[in-house]
Amino acid sequence: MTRVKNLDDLRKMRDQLQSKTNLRDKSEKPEDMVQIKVAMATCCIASGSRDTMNFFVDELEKRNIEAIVTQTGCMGYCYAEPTVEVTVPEKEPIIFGNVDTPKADEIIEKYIKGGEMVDGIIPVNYQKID
Amino acid sequence: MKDLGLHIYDVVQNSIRAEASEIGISINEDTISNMYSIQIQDNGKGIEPKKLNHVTDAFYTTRKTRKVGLGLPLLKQNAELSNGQFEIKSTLNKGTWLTVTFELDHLDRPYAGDLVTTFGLLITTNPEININYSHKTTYGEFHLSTKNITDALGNITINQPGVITMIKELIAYNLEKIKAETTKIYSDSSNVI
Ligand SMILES: Nc1ncnc2c1ncn2[C@@H]1O[C@H](COP(=O)(O)OP(=O)(O)OP(=O)(O)O)[C@@H](O)[C@H]1O
Ligand SMILES: [Mg+2]
Repeated sequence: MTRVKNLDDLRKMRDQLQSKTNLRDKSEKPEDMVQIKVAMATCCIASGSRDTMNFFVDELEKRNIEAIVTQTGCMGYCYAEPTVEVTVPEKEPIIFGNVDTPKADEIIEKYIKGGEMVDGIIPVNYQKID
Repeated sequence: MKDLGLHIYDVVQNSIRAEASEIGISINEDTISNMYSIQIQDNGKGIEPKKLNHVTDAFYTTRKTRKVGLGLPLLKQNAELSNGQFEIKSTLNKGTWLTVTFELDHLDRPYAGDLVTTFGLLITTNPEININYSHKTTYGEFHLSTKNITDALGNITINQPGVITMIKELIAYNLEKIKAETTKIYSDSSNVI
């Protein structure tokens, strides 16, 4: 595989990217996709939320799971950062606390792929504080 | 905050929250003036003059003002600890501009950290914002913007599978080329496609 060194290289990769996209069942509607929101206030970032988000972005792509990963404001659970809200299609959103990389891996494998419950859920009366 | 990459990622969150559609980030590692400088500007909704004086002293106040936040006070503190400076200007409904400098070889200067993750993530997870990144060292300059990338990609979108890895690779390669200070170097692309 050639290394992407500049924009020209990126341009040349279009075909490969196109065919990779076609391999997936494409759903255009966000509600059909897994949605992940990572809380991203300063305190979250200091406790590792950027790297948690990066892990989700990289790994969901590698494991071929269609998802939308976005940042959101402080969710108000400062004691349990990084916090992440995960919404699997047709299920209620769930907030997980202390999501470091191993936890994120577990969430992908067990909760998102396997539909099993995993530890670390923050019980809600959930009110979004932004 | 551990490193400059995290500070940048954090300060850009302010610009995103201010609904900016353009965010410019320039880094200059200047060995001649012995200065590491970071400039961040956005066209978001700005800060009213009354509040602007307070955005950096929140650190010294108590919990009641915690709403004002920690991001900018921490950055200012880190700059001053390494003999640098912090300056912020803002115009309501026009945007915000900030420059922070650090003495390059000061022992207390935070390390640059993982700039590949910072910029890779900022660009790929905010495709609706034009992020304009430039980085200058003694060895050269690197420029990259969301617009450059979307132009090169044509009808492929930034968040399609495979693109993220390539963008990170591109950033890593070019930062390496200008010998920019950064942690992670992505030299292995064997599992890209
Ligand atoms: N680029 C910007 N555009 C508009 N307003 C800004 C910008 N940067 C900072 N502000 C204002 O200054 C305040 C303080 O910013 P700071 O980053 O220090 O804290 P915060 O973002 O509120 O909270 P925290 O950083 O702790 O998550 C913000 O709440 C916001 O009102
Ligand atoms: Mg902030």
